[in-house]
Parts: sequence; structure tokens; C-alpha cells
Amino acid sequence: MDEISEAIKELEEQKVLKLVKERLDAGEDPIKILEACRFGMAEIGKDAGDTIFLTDLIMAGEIFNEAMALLMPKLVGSSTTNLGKVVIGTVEGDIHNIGKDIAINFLKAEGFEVVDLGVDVPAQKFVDAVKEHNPPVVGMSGLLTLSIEPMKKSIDAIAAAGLRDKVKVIIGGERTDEEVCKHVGADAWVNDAIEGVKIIKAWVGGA
Amino acid sequence: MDNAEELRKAKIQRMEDAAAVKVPDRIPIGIATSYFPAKYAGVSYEEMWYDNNKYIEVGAKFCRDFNWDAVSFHRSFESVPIGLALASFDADLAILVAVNSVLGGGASHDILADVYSSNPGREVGKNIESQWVIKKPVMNDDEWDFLIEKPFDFMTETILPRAYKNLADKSSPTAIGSLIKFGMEVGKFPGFLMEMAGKLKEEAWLPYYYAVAPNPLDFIGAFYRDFDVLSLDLYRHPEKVKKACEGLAPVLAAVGKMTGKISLDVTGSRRVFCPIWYNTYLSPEKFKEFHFPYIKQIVNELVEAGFTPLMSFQGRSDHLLEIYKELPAGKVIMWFDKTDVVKAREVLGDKYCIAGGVPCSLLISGTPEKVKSHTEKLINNMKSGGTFIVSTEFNGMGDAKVENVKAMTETVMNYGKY
Repeated sequence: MDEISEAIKELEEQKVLKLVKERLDAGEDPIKILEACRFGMAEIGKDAGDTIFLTDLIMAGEIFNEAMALLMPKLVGSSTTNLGKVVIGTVEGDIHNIGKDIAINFLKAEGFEVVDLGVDVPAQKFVDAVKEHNPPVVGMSGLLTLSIEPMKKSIDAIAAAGLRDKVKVIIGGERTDEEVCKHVGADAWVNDAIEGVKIIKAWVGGA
Repeated sequence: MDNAEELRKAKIQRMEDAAAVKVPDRIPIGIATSYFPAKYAGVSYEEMWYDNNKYIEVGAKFCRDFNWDAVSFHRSFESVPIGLALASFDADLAILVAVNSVLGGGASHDILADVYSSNPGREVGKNIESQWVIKKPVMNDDEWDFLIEKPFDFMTETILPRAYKNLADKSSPTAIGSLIKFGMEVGKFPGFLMEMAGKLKEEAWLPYYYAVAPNPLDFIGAFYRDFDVLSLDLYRHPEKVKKACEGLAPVLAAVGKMTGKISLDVTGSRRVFCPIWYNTYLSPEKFKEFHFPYIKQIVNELVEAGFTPLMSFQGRSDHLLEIYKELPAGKVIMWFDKTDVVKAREVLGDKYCIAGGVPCSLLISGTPEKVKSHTEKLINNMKSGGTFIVSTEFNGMGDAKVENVKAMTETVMNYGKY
């Protein structure tokens, strides 16, 4: 495994940043470095829920974003992996962001373009985003049980706008389950962000 | 209620038996919920949060109609840091402020303008639940040493002016006026407590908990750093995090014992609520390093003082169950959110009282038939090999259907008898 991938997998923040800087300074192709970062993130994802837990995923996301901040200026104009768009947001009434943000970091690491609608997102904003971005997948997040009915409302609104058959909808959060998934009319549910990324990847044929 | 006192004593006994792993006459039902009783009584979440008279009315109505063995109508914790900051000045005042924070409702949020809560009818809609989300850390990255060396000074000098917008400039009229208003509010609290105590007796209303003992890591996450930033701290400043937890543990144990004493006097219950949030974030190794040692220290102190820690393991704990076996058997209630209680029983064995088992999602999305069949199956699975309290996730059943909550209640009352 590439040294950068390995250091990301081991969550060695300073080592990752040092290696990225050194290799950029040495003139290495930034796309190759980016791929090494992505590979490290994918390796972490493989162990999520087994030996890797939320604090590890938050740290991994932080390291990835720091590495990306170094890489981005050098990547301008380059063509990198693009698995398509995912529109994602925490549904109306719920202002929690951590689960959503972990999903976003790992989706980006997989090569998705993420449209982050933020927290407390009204149903209409999901509809507008689907119209504007035409994503194959919409992710709806919510930590609290109060997010269940707004998830239903948002999915119903997407259906009422005639867009339901154009997108797959995945719901995620601590209190979602099969019962909730059926109730709100989503295509999949997860309690864990990394599992969600795997499902999305399988849907768009990237798995 | 005519036989309220007998009923109340029976509830206390049932809950105590269950906690001590002595078979009670019936499986008890114990739940924390603020929003469902409000909705049931036709009162907005905003009123439940801010109007103390309505709060008591709603509670009494709910207790009369559902008659659960223990129920808490949780509100918020916004003024806990002020209570702790006062500890070195006047311990009784400090504890009054801390208890007021837990039971006093949203008034202190309005007076002090804290950065912690988004409350119904204020930052969120009047029928949206209060949520605790810090937008940016209250404590900066380079302030660990101050927290470790002088935790009370740190609280007063650094946290209070940042946590409460109206205390930002301590010598300003806004700050002085806000503290006076806050004091006036706290002054009303003993009267409220007396009224509440009377109502508890009248309605055989036994709180699931009335006292609280936070633990250091969750306290730092909730009040100082926020949970995602604290996750990074575990990697960047591990030794400092542990030192800070060591310093806070005895203080928070004292909070548990002092609020526990008030609770015992007012309600007759020995339970002290120990909310545990960060368990779901941590690997077993990190849990053992940063979280559990201090939880155990506080639990042991509470047990030694004659209290029953009601350990609310929020989120998912499946990966930590083996570690929980280090907690004193027959002395704590292990209340689970998403953790499968049947699996928990398998791992923990017959020496612990377990609470949980009815997912709020079922009460929200299911039908009475489904709820009945789930609850019967749950009772069958949990009735033997230790004791059990039927419960749901912490404060999660706001949107539950009334008929489903009735089905759960009736099934426990009829089917849960030993």
C-alpha cells in the first residue's frame, strides 16, 4: 500500500500532511496523491463498525480534508474520478450535522460530487436541488426521531414533483430502521454513514 | 387519585426490585419523554418547555391516563455551567442552580442567551424538539491547560462569557441585569419544586429520574468542545483530555450525589440519571481509555452513597457490552437506546437490570397490533434471567401514535405480571 494510504488508514495526521507536501514539492502528479488518499479512506471504510468507530471516521475525514486543501490548488483543471452527484441534507426540524458530514467526506473520497444542502432542510429545497442537479441519489439524514415525518414529507414532495423515479433515496441516522424506511418510502436505510456510501456506490455502478 | 400513596409506594418498590435484580410483581415501565405527553394533552412543545404550570398539568394528566411506573418529562440543561461555576462560592446555591437547570424549563435560555440549545418557539418551530448543537466550540484548542489546572476559574472566566451571550461583557448592564433576572427565576424554583412534589404524591407520579450525574467526557463534549471537535482532541491531545476528565470526575460525582439527595427527598426514588452519549462514537479501546474509567468512578461513588445509577447508554453500545460488566451488579440500571436488549442480556447475564426494548420508530410508524406483538415477544424474551424495565430510546417518542403507546402500556400491564 502507498505510504500515504497507509498513514491515512492509521490516522496519522501529521505524517499524511508531511508526505503530501513533500511529494507535491517533489513534483509528483497530484492525481496520484489524491488516489492514494482515497485508497486510504476506502481502507478505513472497510473496517467501519468493526474496528473503526465514529471518532475514527471524524478524524479520517479531517485528515482527508486537510490533504485535499493542499492538493486542490494543484488539481485545478485535472480530470479526476467522478462517480456523479449526490444531493444530501439533514431534514427539516433537525439541526444535527455529524452523520451527514461523515457521509459527505467519504462520498467525496470515493469520487462523488456532493451537493450539501446543510441542516434543517425543508422538503421543497430537496425538490429544487433534484431539479437543479439531477442527481441519481438523494441522501436524507436525521439524528432524532423527529426527523422521521420530515423524511416522509421530503420524499412525498419529490414524488409529487414527478421526480421520484429519477432518484434513489437513502435515509440515514441513529433512529432509522426498516420500519421507518417503509413508512417514509425510501429505497434504503442505514444507521452508519459508511454503509450508506457503500450502498450509494453500488447503486451508481461504482462498486 | 384515591389510593395514590399506595400506588406510588408500589411503583417505587417495583422499580427498586427491578434495579436490585429481585423479581418484582410485574415488569415495570419507565420512560423519559417530554413531547409525547405535550402532544397528547394538546399543548405545544413551546408551552411544555416554558410554562411551568402547563408542564405540571401535562405531567399530571399523562400520569393519570397512562399510569406508568416511572416517567420523566425531561427539559434542558442550559444553566449547568453556571451552577458548577458557583460551587466554590456557595455549594447550596450551586446545586439549586444546577437542579433548576434540569427542571426549570426554558426561562434561563431566554435570560442568558446560551449558545447550546435551540428551543421550541425560539430558534426552532413551536412544535419542534429542543436540540443541543454548539455551532462552534466554546473552548479553544489551546485552553486545555487552563481547564486542567483551574477547572472552576476556567469555567467562570472562559466558559461563562462565551456560553451565555448576555454575559459576554461581565461588567455590562446586560450581564448584570441578566444575572439578576436569572436569580429571580432561580428564586421561584423552590416554590415550583414544592408544587411539583405535591403533585407527584397526588397523582402517584414517580419520576424515572430527577437527579443527574454527567460524566467528564460527555460534559466536555456537550459544554466545551462539541462532539466532533472532541473526536479530534482524542488524537491530538489525548493526555490533556484524560487529565481534564480526571479533574472533573469528582466534581460531577458530587453533582450526582447532591441532586440525588434532593431527588430522594422529593420523590422517594434513589435513581440518578447518568446520560452517556459518547459511547456510540468510541471504539472499545478508546472507550476504555477516555470514557469508562470516569463513568465507573462516578457510578461507584453514587452506589456507595446509596443511589442507583440509571445509566442511559444512548445510541448504540453493542460493541461495549463486555466492558459494562465491570459495573456493580444489581446496583445499576442499564438503559439502552438502539442496543438490542436481548443481545445485551446474553452478554451481561442475569445480574443486571436492563431497560429498553421498544423502538420509538415502531411507536411512530407501527400499528397497535404490531406494538402488542412486539411487546409480548420482548417480555417473553426478557422476563427471566435477570430483571427488565420496558422502555424506549431517551426522549424519542414525540411523534408516537396515541393508540400505539396505549397498546404498549396495556401489554406491559396485562402481560408483564410475574
